Amino acid sequence: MVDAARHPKVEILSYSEVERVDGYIGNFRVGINRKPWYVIADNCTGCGDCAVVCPIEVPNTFEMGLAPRKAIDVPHGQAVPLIYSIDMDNCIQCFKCVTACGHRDAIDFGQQPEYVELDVGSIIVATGFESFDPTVIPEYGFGAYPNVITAMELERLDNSAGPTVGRLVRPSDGREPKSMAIIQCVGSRDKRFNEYCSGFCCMYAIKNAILMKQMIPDMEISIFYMDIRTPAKGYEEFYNRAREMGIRFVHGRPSQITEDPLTHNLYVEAEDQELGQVLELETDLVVLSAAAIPRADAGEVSTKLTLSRSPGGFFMEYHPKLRPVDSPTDGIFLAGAAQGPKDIPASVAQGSAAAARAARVLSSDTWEIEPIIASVDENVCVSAKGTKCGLCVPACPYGAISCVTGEPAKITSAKCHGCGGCVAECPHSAISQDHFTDAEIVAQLRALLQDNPEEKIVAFMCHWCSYGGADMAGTSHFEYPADSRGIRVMCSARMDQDFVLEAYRRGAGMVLLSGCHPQDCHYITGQQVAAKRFDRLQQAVERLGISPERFRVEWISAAEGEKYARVITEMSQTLKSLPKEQILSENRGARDSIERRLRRWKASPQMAELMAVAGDDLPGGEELS
Amino acid sequence: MIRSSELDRGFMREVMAIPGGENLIKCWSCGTCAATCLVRRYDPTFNPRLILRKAGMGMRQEVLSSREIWLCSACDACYPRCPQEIHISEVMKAIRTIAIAEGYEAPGPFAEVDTALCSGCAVCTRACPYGAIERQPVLVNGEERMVAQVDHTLCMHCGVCVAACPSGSITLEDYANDELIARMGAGGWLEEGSYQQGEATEPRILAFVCQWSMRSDAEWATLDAMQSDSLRIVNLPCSGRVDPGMILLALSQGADGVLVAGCSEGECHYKRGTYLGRSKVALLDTVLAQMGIQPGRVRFVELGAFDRGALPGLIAEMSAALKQPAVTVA
Amino acid sequence: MDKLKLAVYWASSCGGCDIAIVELGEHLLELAKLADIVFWPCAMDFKYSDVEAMDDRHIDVCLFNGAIRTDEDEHIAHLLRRKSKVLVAFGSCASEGCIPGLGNIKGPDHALARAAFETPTTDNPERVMFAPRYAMPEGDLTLPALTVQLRTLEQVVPIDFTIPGCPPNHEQIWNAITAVVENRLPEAGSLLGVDPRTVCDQCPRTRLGKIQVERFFRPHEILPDPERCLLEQGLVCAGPATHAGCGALCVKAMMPCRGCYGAPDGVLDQGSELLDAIVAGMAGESDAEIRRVVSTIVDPVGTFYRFSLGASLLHALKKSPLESGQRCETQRDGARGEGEHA
Repeated sequence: MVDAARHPKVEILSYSEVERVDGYIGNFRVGINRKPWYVIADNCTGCGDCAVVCPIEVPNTFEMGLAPRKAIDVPHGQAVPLIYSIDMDNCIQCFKCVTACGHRDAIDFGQQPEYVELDVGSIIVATGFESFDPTVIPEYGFGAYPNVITAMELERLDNSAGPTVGRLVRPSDGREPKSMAIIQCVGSRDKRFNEYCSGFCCMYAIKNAILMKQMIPDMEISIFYMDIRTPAKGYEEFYNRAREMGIRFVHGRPSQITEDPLTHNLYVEAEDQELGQVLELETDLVVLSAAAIPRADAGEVSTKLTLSRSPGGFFMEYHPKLRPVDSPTDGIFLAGAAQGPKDIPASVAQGSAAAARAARVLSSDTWEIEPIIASVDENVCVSAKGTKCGLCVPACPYGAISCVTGEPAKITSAKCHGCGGCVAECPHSAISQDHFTDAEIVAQLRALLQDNPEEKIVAFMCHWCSYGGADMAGTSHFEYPADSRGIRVMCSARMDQDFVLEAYRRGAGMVLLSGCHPQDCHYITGQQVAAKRFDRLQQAVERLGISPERFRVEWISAAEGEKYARVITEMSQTLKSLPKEQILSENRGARDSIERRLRRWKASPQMAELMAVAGDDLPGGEELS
Repeated sequence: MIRSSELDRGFMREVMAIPGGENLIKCWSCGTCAATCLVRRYDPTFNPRLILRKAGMGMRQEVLSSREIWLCSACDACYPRCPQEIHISEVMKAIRTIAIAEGYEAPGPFAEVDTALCSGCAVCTRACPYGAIERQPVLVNGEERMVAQVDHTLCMHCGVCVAACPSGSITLEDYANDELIARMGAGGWLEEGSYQQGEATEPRILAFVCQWSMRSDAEWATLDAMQSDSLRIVNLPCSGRVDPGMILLALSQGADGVLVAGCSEGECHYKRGTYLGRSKVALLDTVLAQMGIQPGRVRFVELGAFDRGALPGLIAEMSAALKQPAVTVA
Repeated sequence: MDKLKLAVYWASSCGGCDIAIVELGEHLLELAKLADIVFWPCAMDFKYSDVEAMDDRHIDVCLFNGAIRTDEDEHIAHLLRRKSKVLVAFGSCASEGCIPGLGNIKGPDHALARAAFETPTTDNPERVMFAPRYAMPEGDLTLPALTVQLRTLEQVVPIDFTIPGCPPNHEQIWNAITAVVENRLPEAGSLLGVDPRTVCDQCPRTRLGKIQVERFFRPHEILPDPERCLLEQGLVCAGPATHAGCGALCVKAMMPCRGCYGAPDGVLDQGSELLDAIVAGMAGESDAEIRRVVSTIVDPVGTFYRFSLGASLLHALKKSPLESGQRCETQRDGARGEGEHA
């Protein structure tokens, strides 16, 4: 940290918060709130004389509340920069610190917060994690029994720079514990709280156990586990070493911890599965290996930086295998536990990786973006003509569109990732997406439904998930009937209502719209935009007189090849059970309504080209061809 | 040795097809339920984790024919602690459903109704937490009458019906009325004079203790060791089994006070037995108050999962309170 | 065949039991053929001296109704016991205390004070209390004194049989008398004139069984469904804890059973059995809720022990048997009423 602080090209803005982020890759403008230290950084030498005389003591969160700190203090002894700051919520303004600081004159009660704006090319998010609070598990007694502590508290107690100078003591009576029980998976791997495994607790529990055993050789240490997960290099050997040191491992998840009210000793009750009997272990101290959870402000951060969150709440990576330190937003990278619980070697590796990825941005003059970007036709956009619209703006997961009445909507190409949501949302067909134009897709529909359309299922699939799923079905040899014809778009958000209507106008037997599961969308919120639209579309299709079983919406992931095959099989069976006359008559009945709606196509620029080729069978096309 | 060829992989699906059994597949044998289970404290052969594991592995015959599947009383102490949120008692019920269909029977004991004495008043039906006792038309001494009948697949032998029956028509092995009275007064305990009558140096307390409220043999042993002239312990299958008539009998003889110890709200081993126990004491209190009997002579105390070792203290508290001069209402 | 020598006595009672015997109707003519009434002060002109003059065990059957409230009642109870072969506690007062037994809640001194000083129509400015002895120039006038507690017949003398009810059902009375005449008596100590089991056995109402009552009502507060069990509708019906014999009369008349036929066979205490039965059907899954439901039962002693308080275990809780038989405080010798003539 000190090296980083001294590096000429590294500037540390501590005690500051990101307020907003605008711009795009290579050109971010970051607004930062710098909170006042009430200490002049250049004058402070970090000597600590001020803290010595400060009369106010408050709980020290770094020491897990086990020790106090003063109202003027540093976060901890190794803080960089080592500049003291005043906690104004608790300071009583007695000015003793000013006196103690003396000629150094570093304290300034008049200091104001500062707002700075930085122009940066790339951003790395390495905001870390928090610990789960086990108070919500009443059967473990945390918060009720003094001698039940968390692993973080234990870390402070056995740390030579900690509140007890490294002497492990029991909170209830301050004496050295003769025995200790460590409970794994507290709040992890638990459907009631967090389903994921926190990944590093087995190793740190074993580390603490070995450390304690070295410090207090007679201490009886037991670790209660469901599984011991020590997969990385040297980890299994470490685990074996712990066993050989006499640390007892009990394979059973404790059901409850009770306390002897007089001695404050604890009784841990768990089934020792190897013995097949319930063990009641009396112990001096219990340590809970609490889960790693996302920080409380993760939601705020993800909104400010347009980040997506995985089901556990950690920031989502662009792709777990191919781009693990990239966020979905170009130019913003992730490192460390913010992306998911991981230990130090993995965090450091990710940090290096993120730095390298971020450096690529800085060392380039130009940046290659997706070619499938969207653009607005200023002549068609109604906002340019003074009508209030802006429906495209909320459709964009990246905030790439802005719209002011009186001007056409503007898309920042560098931010556009090509989901196509805005293209489909625009009711006036004023936006088009390169390589996925309306005309191209309508041409595909025309070709696919040329012959015997009533016998066919038109399946719209999103590229990242459902198309992958269909592909998986193929490569895995999951058989399904050959009644479907697929049309690929980048995201389910691109699936326009008009495509569905056109499919029925052309006589399709059934239509399937298939996209990612909500938490999997490659374009963060594209699936949500699509889902809302599909709900309305379902009603619209019914109102046209089309039987509900002829329109289906499914969420299929890239791994669900079996599901894709099953869905097509079901749809095919249903299709075959419907009388052909019924399909024909329903389509006939809906035709006029659909044609009226689709007339607006002729306003769309690329459609003119298509109509020129095949005008007679497109609504409005007969006027053009 | 278990041969895989002997396993019936379909058994798990069979159980999962019954409503309540769906979550069997989620179990990864962490053992939390086995460590929580109170039945297991007193009968180590009962292991819910093992039953679920065996069912999951397909040991169909062994599971269906075992007596253990009948021992779960659906107290649901394990359910809120299961990290996979499996409603274990529902899985047990699903297994039992299959067992019943194959002709297996629960081992008992069960509540027994004397059909000649039963008037079909349906009080027992209202009392039973399991819906295990209902009126049926039965031929009794040549006459068809609606009398209570116990469903052996549902009866958990909690004894609540035995107390509830106002005509003494129901009995339960080990916990029949006369057995409890015999235990109360064994060795002439009730014939000795009370502290109130000036014939004892310490208040004499009779304690009815729900057997599930004491969580371990060690606690029972501590309590047993406390029995003396001043303290008599009678264990009940449930505080809902307590009979106000026996409380009054004790008070009218040599007891100064009667303590009823039952499980905390929401922790009753038999679902609602503890509420019945409390209700009886609450109602009896109003009767005693109206009669001008010294208050505090009958007490209900609740013991929760974390109240280890608390009962001796509560008994001492009651004893101290009974020593206060009697404040009688005229 | 010799005629049965029958005696009927009323101690502290309302006279209803005597009326019940009169209710025998035409059976009275048969009774006249079967029995000689040797003592029935309520109906005919008999004196105590008539009884005193009899040989011991002269009376074949004595139907003793009314509770032992005064020392006169006790005296006659002992007398009739000596003079009777078979002594029957006849009716609820004699067998379990009945309504007068409720006086044991507050005790007779309380009742006397209320009567002497506190009723709305009392005009007693000098606070003159009833006295057991009143001196007159011609001599002292005495009245029977109230004892500390009301007692049942069995608590004072040994009895042979009991005929419960308030009053006993007249059909049942006839069954009992014919049983005596035909020498078909059950074993000593039994109940006569009853049907097996409890009132519920004779009650025609439907029972759903799974009802949990949220609150209880006093009979005037609701109009119950005529087909359904009254207990399930929140009325405290003592039927489940009351011996059958009356044919569920009250229930058939839309009123909950009050329990006048006494406890079912073999139970410890009628009130606590009824309490148990009520609790079984009570809602309440927390202490607060239970308190609320319990608070809707007004006058719990009167509700559960309306007829049986005298014979209950509560009775024994309050006063010892010895103390129960003493004169109550305001009626003791030496207790002087104010304003007494010298």
